[in-house]
Amino acid sequence: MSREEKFWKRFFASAAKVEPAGSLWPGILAGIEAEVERRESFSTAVLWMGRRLAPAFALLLLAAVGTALWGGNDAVLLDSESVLAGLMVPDAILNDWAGVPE
Amino acid sequence: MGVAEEERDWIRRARQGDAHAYRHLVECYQARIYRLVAGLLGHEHGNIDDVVQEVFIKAYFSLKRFREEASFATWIYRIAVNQARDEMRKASRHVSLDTTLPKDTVQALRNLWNQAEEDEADPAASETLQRFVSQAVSALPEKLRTVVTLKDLEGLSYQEVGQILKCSVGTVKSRHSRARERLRTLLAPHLPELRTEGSLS
Repeated sequence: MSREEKFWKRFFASAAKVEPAGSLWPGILAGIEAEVERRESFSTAVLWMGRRLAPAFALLLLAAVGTALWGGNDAVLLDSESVLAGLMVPDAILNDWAGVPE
Repeated sequence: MGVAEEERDWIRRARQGDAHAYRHLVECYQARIYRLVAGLLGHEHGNIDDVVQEVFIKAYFSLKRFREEASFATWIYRIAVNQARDEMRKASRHVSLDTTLPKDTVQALRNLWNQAEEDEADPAASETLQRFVSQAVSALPEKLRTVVTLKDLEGLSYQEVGQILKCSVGTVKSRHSRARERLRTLLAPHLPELRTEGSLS
């Protein structure tokens, strides 16, 4: 080990030796208990909100499904009209061929 | 049962919610974590106790995620370094060191240099020297201070420091060398031999 390395070793060994005045456990335990309590009250709040909001959400879902189904029937009706319009075409051709005025 | 095996057993029990086991781990590590946090924040910092407590509270709730890939010491040191960094950012303090050192501090440094060749036990450092060393480390930029605290004050290897800081051994060595250079620059006006020796090495 070089002289400089030995110097640095002694230099850092000269640093003040600090240590806690006593056991930190009581403060740590209190902190853990407070955090457990906070987490528990948070999950209780989430559970409470879930219970309150679940029926409202279910209603909303039913309403959305109902609206979608109603919109779907309209689409079916529109589709049948266009089919009927298509079926009119052969009659027009026949009338034209027979010389019947429209 | 070996020490590591015994520690693993305490950890396993603490994970299962055994408060007595966690208390045992806290009492094994609190002095080391306290020294580390004090080294990083500066000995004059008023919240060292609170920061150390926060380290152990965080560690308790993260214990389930401790995979034993690294040692428990490395893992808890990492939490402590991160917590101290958060505290440093909150405080955003800047320690400036007076480069004109008191005569007794200069004399103490000269004595350290002269004794460096002798193999006798380290003499008890004077209070002024103790304070000066702490202030000199505190005046380093955060990244350099962290490496010096872990390597020189805590006596960890480059590899261990790299594991704690999640960086390569090369990066640790580079930061350590930059920190030494800064300290050398600080001390060289009072200890010219240091500059000569440093440039030779």
